Amino acid sequence: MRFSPFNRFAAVIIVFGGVVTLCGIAALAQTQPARQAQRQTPAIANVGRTPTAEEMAAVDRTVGTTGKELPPGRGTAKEGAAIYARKCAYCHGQNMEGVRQMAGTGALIGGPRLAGAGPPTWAAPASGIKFFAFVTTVFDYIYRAMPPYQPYSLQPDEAYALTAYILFKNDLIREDTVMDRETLPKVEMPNRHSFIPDKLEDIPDIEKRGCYKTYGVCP
Amino acid sequence: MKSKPSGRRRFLKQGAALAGLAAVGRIETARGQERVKLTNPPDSAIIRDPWTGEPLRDPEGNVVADWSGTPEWKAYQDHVRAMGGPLYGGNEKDHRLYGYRSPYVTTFRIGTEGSFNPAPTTVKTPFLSLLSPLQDQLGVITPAGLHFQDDHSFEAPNIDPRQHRLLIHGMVDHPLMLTMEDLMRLPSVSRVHFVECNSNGTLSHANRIQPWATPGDIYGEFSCSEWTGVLLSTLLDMAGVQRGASWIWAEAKDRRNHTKSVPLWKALDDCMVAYGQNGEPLRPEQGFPIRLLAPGFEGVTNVKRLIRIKVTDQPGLFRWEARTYTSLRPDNKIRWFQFEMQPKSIITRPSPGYPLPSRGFYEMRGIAWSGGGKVRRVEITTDGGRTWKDAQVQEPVYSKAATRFVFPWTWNGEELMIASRCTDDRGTTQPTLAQMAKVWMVEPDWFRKPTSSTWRFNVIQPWKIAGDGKVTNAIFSI
Repeated sequence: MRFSPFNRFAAVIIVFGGVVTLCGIAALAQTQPARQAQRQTPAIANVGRTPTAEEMAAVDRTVGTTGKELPPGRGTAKEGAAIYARKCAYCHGQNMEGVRQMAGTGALIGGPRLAGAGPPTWAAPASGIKFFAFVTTVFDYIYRAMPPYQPYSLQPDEAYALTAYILFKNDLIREDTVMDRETLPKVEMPNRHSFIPDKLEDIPDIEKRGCYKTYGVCP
Repeated sequence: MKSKPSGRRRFLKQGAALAGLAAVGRIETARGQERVKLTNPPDSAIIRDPWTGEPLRDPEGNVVADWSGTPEWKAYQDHVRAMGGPLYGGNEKDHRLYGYRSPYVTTFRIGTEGSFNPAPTTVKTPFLSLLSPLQDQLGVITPAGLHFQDDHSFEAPNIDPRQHRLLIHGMVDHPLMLTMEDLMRLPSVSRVHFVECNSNGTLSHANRIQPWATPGDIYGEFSCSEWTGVLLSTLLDMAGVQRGASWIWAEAKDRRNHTKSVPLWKALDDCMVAYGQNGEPLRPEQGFPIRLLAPGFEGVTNVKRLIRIKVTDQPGLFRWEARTYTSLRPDNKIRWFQFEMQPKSIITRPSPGYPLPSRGFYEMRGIAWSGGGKVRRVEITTDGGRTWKDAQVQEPVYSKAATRFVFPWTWNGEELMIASRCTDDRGTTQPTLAQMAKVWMVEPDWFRKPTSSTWRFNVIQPWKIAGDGKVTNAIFSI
């Protein structure tokens, strides 16, 4: 008899049944010791405690790219100028030109340029905050880490005012524009699309990006 | 006759100067609110002229006192915040209780202040970078005292582990707050891994391209230790990561509150919250009481003094990853988030600082590593890169850790160029200068005077051996 539909159907059923039976035997053989192992390893219970919302807020000043973590508050460049002169100018310069730490002097006072330079180019790589892809990076760093050696000393209003002042000095906003949790994330940075990869969701997959193929230096 | 008293007075004044401190002005120190002042010495400490009983005075007229043994001096020693104070290991240690090296061993870290020029450093220089002397590392483990340190706040803080907490929150079902005791109860692992700065080997460091540059000058921002701690996957499992999360933000609690974004796949893979280094608790300069360890990733990812892990669905884009740890391309695009450190290797003997004293047998040896996994193969060239022979990669070979390689060899007095080339188990190998230039989209000569940061510069590192046995840095030759 040639290869008839019934024969094919029977062959498939027999093979399928055999596979299912084998799988069933194998599964039984595997779950017994696995279940025993699970019973022997106790669950991790009663280690650590749930933090309160205040405790979490006390150590959480980071702000991400969407700006949804921005604290309540507001500030303008005019207010920021006064704070900058008092708290920032000694490291970052009167006109945000930066203060170079003098070599060999052991000086700790110094900070990078914040304004007066565009996004970096191959011909002119020096840059201020126009380097950043997102304006929230500026707010986050000021609010969380500045001034150096006195982090967490700035209030949200001060951080908004300083960010506004820096953005104003970089010609990104006007002197009286109010920066708050709604308006700040909307400021577009000129260097947003200079980075490779451009989309944030493409960043984690280094194999897809081709990093392994180029001696580990991502293309 | 006045000679005897004046001679004795002069002797006593000199003795006093040697024995103690003059109570000149106020020596103020600060640690939080505590201030210790060495003024108004107790009567027993004041040095008096034994003939007249008057207090001796220094040229400015201040009373001279010998503070040694007084409780005020002990308090000053405990709190002084300067070179020599407890933050710099100033307290006397009983060497029987915590050992010491032979005085004939004078290996030290190389201090640089990060201004990228070979300026001389003194004991008063705050070091941005303390490079590990790789040429003197005998095994795969870097001694804890020689482990490199890069600290953008120049100083390790003094954290009380009893007050320290680790917070896990964000896109998790159960936010967690853990003390050090809690962490000690949890399942632990102990792994051998390196920590390496993204800038290790960069041409922007002036010391690195000098002909006298030792392996420590070239690749000093690299060290390997046994790290003990809790896997981050255990902690994230306890907290319960929610669907949609793809990143974690790890933050430090110190002068700079350094924060880094780490992809969630890496956090769940082999990241750990480490509390132990080489069998003892982390040292303050390595992040006491806990640090994040991301094996194989850029050094800046290994956040010291970890205070919190926030699970999110976005990279934070914090200052260092957004700007400093990026590199510019000639087409004005910028590479960021390169994550893994690539394969590198260096011959530690012979090297500048360890010249060849005579002809004859030598075991060439060195260290190789890769952030991608184990070192599969190390090759040596003795003719400037024309031909390559396999060196022996010695056990133990750990993944993402320092690995020793050895190559028995005879020197016949000739001038030659030697180098090593590492390949990891993923097949990634070290490039030549020409191959690196292709990836960087520049001419090879551009590297001699780079106009932007040359991070991740893992080009083959050659040594030139002269006829008299002297070894010099021959970067750009292969």
